[in-house]
Amino acid sequence: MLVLDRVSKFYGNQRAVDSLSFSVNKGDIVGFLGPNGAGKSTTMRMIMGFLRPNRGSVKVNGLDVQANLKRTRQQIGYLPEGNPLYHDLYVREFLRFAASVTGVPNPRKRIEETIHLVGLQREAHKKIGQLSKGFKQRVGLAHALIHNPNLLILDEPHSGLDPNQLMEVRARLREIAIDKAIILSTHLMQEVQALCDRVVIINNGKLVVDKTLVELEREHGKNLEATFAHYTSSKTSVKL
Amino acid sequence: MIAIFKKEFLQFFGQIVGYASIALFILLTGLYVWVFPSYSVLEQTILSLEPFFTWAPIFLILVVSAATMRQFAEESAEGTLELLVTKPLSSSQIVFGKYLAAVSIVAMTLLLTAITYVPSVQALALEGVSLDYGSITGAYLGLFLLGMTFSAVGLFTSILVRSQMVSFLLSGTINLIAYIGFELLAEKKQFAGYWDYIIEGLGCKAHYESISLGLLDVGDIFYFIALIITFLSLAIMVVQRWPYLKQL
Repeated sequence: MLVLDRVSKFYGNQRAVDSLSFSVNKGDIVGFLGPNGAGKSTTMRMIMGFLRPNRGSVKVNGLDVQANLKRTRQQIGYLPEGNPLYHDLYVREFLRFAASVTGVPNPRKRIEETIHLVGLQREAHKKIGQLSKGFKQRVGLAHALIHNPNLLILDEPHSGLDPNQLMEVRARLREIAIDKAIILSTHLMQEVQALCDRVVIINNGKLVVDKTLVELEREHGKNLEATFAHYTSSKTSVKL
Repeated sequence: MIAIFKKEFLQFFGQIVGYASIALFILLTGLYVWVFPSYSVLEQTILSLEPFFTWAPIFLILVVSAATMRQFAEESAEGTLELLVTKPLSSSQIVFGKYLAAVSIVAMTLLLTAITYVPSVQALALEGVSLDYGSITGAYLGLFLLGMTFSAVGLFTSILVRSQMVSFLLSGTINLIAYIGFELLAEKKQFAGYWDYIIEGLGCKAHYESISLGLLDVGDIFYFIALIITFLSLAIMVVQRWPYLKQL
């Protein structure tokens, strides 16, 4: 469904992403991990076609993203870092807008379905600015899901949520994941363990791990924080 | 494009600044039409809407700058521009959608004055005396073209900065210079005779006044269309490069 082939991105002399390759298939929930500044958001932005790679290619369902921006974006749901939203719009207005620009057939029905899917029924009549952070996160998710994409790119969907809200978002993602591929960037290892089948770790823009969670736990034990530190600590030399 | 237009329109009227800027326009032009004795139609012997058409362009700059300041600057500051540019939309669809919303706000504002000022001033006329509707239509067309031009400039400045206030000031200053700056510059003694005419012709005011006389000159219309196309094209180019842009 998604293939990154030796993708690199430079900012001046700095290599934000360095020859990164991995793929994601339908049904996968991939935890995309790395320390701050490792290149996770840059990679996600290249998948969305928002940034153009200096080298390599990103393909979604066999289509090169840069050559087919409109078609590939129609197949991807994107929750950017920080969950930016239009706070002065009502929830339904915002979802109507998102449905319209992505060409959703029968938008009224789909909006109600999506509101139900993310559990926003009681808040759907409110302005987005009036909602709590947890509900705003659901609006962001609803926006990413409105056109029923088969690939979801979620950049830190857990950021700033309290434990109850974390559990809610986790439950929603589990429901959604059945027929989709999901790439999830997060710093919360318990969320990775609860949700993901596979883990991709990058450090300084380079791939350092691409393994199933079961493989990682077998090799390094259940403590994913320690495993993450093992692969990304600057004092540790890492061999692929 | 229509979806962007609707969103922009809803957002403009979802904030107090939308209503406030239109109300301010009505209030300020109303002061000139009815209250200030040097301009008020109540104090004049000749019945005309000239005070309105003289001052409306200046106040229109206010409305347009308020309507366009948030269109890209707010989206940049809030991060929502990333949402927008990662949708299956082209940069021109984004810019035209936003532009259409700004122009609709201008049209609404002008329409409000047309349905209030024109009949009320006509009501003051003696029986059998009529306002010059030809020149009023021309002046409204000129005002609308001015509003369209100011909107294109405002939209362009809005994407250059992240602060709405800076966008407002930048758009207001450029539009003010484009409207009246060239005419004032042409008054320099050194330009008298030949250059003054050319310099004045570079500004919007000369073309607006020409259209306001009720004379539809292709050159005047072309002048406004050229400015609109230039600034919208610049805006589209900047939106295409936005992820790499270092905004002020």
